Amino acid sequence: MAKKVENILKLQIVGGQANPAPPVGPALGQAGINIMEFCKAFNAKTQDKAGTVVPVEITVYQDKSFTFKTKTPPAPVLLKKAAKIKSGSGEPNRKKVGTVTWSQCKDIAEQKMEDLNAFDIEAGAEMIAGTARSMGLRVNREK
Amino acid sequence: MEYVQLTISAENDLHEILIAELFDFGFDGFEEQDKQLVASIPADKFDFTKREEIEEILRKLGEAESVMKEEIIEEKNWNQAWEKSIKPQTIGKFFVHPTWTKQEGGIDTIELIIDPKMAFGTGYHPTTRVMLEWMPEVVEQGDTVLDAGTGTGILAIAALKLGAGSAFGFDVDEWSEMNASENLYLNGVSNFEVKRGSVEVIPDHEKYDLIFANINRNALAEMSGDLIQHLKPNGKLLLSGLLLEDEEAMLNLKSLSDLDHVETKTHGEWIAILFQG
Repeated sequence: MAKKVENILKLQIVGGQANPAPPVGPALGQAGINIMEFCKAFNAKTQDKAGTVVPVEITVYQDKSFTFKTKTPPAPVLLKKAAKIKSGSGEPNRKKVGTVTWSQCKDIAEQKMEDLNAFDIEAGAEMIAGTARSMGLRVNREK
Repeated sequence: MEYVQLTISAENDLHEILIAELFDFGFDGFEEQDKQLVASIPADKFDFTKREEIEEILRKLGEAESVMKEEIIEEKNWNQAWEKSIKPQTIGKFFVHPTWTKQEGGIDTIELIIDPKMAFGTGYHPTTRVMLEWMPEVVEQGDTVLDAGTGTGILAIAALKLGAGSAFGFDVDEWSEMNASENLYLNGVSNFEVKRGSVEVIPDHEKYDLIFANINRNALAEMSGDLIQHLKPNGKLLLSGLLLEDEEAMLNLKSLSDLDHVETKTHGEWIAILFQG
């Protein structure tokens, strides 16, 4: 029989560096699961993403066991890195803060493909370009 | 370490944009809730100016987004709720339990009393289990032991109970030094010194018969060169905290090329590797 799910926690923490500090400690502690066991497993599985924010969805079961699934880093984090900007635009339609190339959008789409609801890289890159525009970035489609 | 936690009212589809902005401000952890984002930053990296800058960003993103709450989160043992659910367990030759359980292990088992708090190493995790199961084959009477990333001190204490002569443990985690010392006392073992820090705290010129390290691939790769400087000729190096896919990288490490790979043991997706000088 499938175990009963008690809670689902959505955290975004730095790859390879989870520790019991907030938000991990308070969120997992409140759920009654072993914080250090989560940190160990998360850090081992995300050591190649050190320095980047990694979204993780933790399913807590009634018997206080848990499973977790990591996702690819958020598109805005990758876009800011690609465009080398400090901050996105508060008025994305009128005030542009930087530029990303179509090739950069495709690179990000490739990294995020498993989490994007897209049929192929081109379609995924369109979604990334949409996020870029909503942050006030121009998308340069020249090859 | 104290943290500041900001609770921000924000539509779910704005969370990722906000995270990208706040990450660059030094926030290093986020919890996504429905129409809310809880962002955490070490208290010493946060001040009023930063809060004003963040509020300016939130204003630009739209009127709905605002800081609803700013809280100071003091350090505490967040594992308390989980600790209540710990059950005694037999792992190889050892019967591991915290002070608050009453059951006794089998006649042939060796008792390990571990109150884990927020340090790693309860025996529940496969990386610790595989080490404890392997240890009776590896530890010899009178061995001197170095325990890198000692956590609760469980591995060093287990080695001492198997007949090791002395142990030195270190850990960068601030909870570990206190917790390992408490567990040392609970188990009535002596000759175990624990220090906070990394390889730099290992006593100079000290050589060990046996070195344990249950951490992770990146940390082990980084410190393995320093560790083997402290390994006696013919000494053993037992590494854990590794996933199946980490084995090749570990076996190909230049720093370990002078050692013989004795065996790799698997526990689910986790492995431990034994080397000998």
